[in-house]
Amino acid sequence: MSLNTVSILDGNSFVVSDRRGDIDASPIDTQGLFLDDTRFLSKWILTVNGLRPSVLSVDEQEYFQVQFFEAVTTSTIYVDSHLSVARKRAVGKGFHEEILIENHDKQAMDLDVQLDAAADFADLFEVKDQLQKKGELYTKTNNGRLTLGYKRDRFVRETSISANQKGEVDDKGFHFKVHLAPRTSWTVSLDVEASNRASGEVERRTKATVDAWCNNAPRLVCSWDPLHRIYKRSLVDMAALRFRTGITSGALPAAGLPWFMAIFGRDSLITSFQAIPFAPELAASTLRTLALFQARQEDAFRDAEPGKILHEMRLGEMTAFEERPHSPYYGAADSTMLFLIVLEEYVRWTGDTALARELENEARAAVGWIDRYGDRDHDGYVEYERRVKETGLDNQCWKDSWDSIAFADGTIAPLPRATCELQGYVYDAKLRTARLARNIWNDHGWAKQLENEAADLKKRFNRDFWIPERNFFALALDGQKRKVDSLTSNIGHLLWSGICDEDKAESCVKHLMSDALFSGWGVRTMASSEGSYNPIGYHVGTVWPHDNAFVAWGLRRSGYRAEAALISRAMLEAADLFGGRLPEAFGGYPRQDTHYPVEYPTACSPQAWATGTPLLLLRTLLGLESDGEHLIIDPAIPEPLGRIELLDIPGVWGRLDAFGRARAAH
Amino acid sequence: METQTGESLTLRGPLEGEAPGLAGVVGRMRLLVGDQPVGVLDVSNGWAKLLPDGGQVDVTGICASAEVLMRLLQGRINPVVMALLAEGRLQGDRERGTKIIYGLRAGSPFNKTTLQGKD
Repeated sequence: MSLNTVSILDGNSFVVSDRRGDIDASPIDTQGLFLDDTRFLSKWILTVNGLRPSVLSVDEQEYFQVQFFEAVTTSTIYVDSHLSVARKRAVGKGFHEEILIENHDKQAMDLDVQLDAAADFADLFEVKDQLQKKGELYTKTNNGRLTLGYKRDRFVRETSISANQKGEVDDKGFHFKVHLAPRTSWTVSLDVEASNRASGEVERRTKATVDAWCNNAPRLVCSWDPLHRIYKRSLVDMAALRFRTGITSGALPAAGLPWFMAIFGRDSLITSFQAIPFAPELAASTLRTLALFQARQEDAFRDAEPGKILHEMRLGEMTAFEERPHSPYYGAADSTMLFLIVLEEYVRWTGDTALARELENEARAAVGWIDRYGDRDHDGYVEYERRVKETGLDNQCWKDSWDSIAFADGTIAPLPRATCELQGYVYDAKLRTARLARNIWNDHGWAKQLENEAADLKKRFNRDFWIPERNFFALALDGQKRKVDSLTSNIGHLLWSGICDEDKAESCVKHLMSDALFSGWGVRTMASSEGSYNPIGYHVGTVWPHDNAFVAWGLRRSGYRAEAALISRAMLEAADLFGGRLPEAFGGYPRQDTHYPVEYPTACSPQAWATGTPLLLLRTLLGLESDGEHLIIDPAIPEPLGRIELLDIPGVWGRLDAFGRARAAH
Repeated sequence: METQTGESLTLRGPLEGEAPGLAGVVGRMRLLVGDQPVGVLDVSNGWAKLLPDGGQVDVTGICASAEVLMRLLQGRINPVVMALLAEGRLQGDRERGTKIIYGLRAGSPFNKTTLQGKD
């Protein structure tokens, strides 16, 4: 997000304005009031006597609420004004705004207060791709209320605006004539409400509901003070990103502001996994919702096959008219495995066997998808290739930009692509599903079969993906079954899934901690030694916090405690320098060259799995694990972080505390 | 085979059968076209049956037209698109309703069922 914009959000409702509070959308700017992937307000400009007030300060009080302090001045150099403006805004099913204008002068003033309003009802895809609308815009005024509307066949969306003060209303906005006696003030409240929406009603957030959410999470006590702020920021941002479908109960994490305030299978699952020891209810809602939308039939347009878990769901006009396949779109090769992984992790942490029973059919269908459709050419590995070139995603792994899967010389790998981490996820998903089959579904035969399949996959994978001349696993097998030989962070995900043979894991760890991959702030998505490397390339050199959290967790699971601690510490230090909030990604420049991690220009912030990163890092540092009955605590904390206590960790055990402290090396 | 299902609309043809996508799903959905009751879709673990209107239901599916209703029953409607275009909406247990509509997309016994005005 631009530093010149201010955002408030709540689930998939958000308002992006300039620092005055004005909204003035342009083809290159994402300002507006957005709900359900539609811009319900594209213009909202306040003028007083024809002047746009100058911003003095912005008080971003809560994620759902902001206050702008301004002065009305004609001066260009010095602010010498007797007229101040305060605008207080809270997001909900639209937004509520209170405008306070104060006359600090000894003279009375007559003011023309004007609020210009307009809505282009752009679908987020139209904003992104600068496309033209196909329907008709209209405006209506009635009883002091302004309605901005859009109609295309049966698709009708409206924004209704009303004020609590009498004024003139026309199709351009509101006009108030105000006489202000000396040292008096005038206020007006405006309600901007989006209607005819497809999703459920938005629950109005208050500070109390956010506090309740944060207080329900474990309490952190630590000696490295910045960690308090980072942890609090994570909890609050996760609260902000909670998304209610209005169909399933509970909330699940939306992916990130501004482009991804929607259900994403991969993002919601990864964030839910990160949050399990802190807010396990997110995982339950995510699993239920994704199970509901699990594909039931083959559908090339949506890249859907029976059993597959969705990639992305959108609610805008282009989705409605099936000009985009997002109703939902299933172009993710990893979501189905991650669904099984999160299901087992959640059940083992919480003891909620009822959910496992409820989702048994969906879990079986997911395994069925892996074997029947995920492995498209029956070579024993899951691979992907979109079925509709115009609308499908080229890369259907988490590194989903077009150039992310490249050979060491920079050549893009031909499709279909079987990326290495997908195979790790299959291995892990089958082992975890075997545990559920044995312990909950009482299907011992299937459990054994899944374990055998996982063991066979591991054996083949270590043979077919290993590059002996470079001593790491190939990023992928390409369409011609060639090893894509770039050194990337993907090998860290293999440690998380446990698919690596022990001797090969050791070699991968050396690469992960090498200067080529580890920048000092984190593990780069691609090593600086590779042909496609670019420190500000989206998936070819930047550092992604969530990626690092899983690499660190993988290192811990594989017994590399010091290395896991080093990455965790670096990432938390970066978080501190980002004001407590890790962005989606940041530059891959070496730490010795930059005292601060370098921002990536279009990174989402807040972004769900970056928000969840400090949570998984805390789990890594304290070595938290559940064996299904007990909380296992095995801390490995680097010295600068000192002492960490995490109190009231929820789980099958009720609530328990974990404590760890750094030990000096002997 | 026929069932008199409402004041003016009657479903004819196969009124029950296997729906593999509804395995594990149990529930009753009242079907309306506008405000006219058409019947109740009774789902029980992979079997779907159309019954005359009446009795307790979990969810009500309100379709904008008879054509939308038939697409719903025959598994030819995407519930997300249906909601976005205001072709239909669910009241009550929307989760179960969505599950039923999705389930029919995997195979419906109502492909030859018709909806006709009552004689």
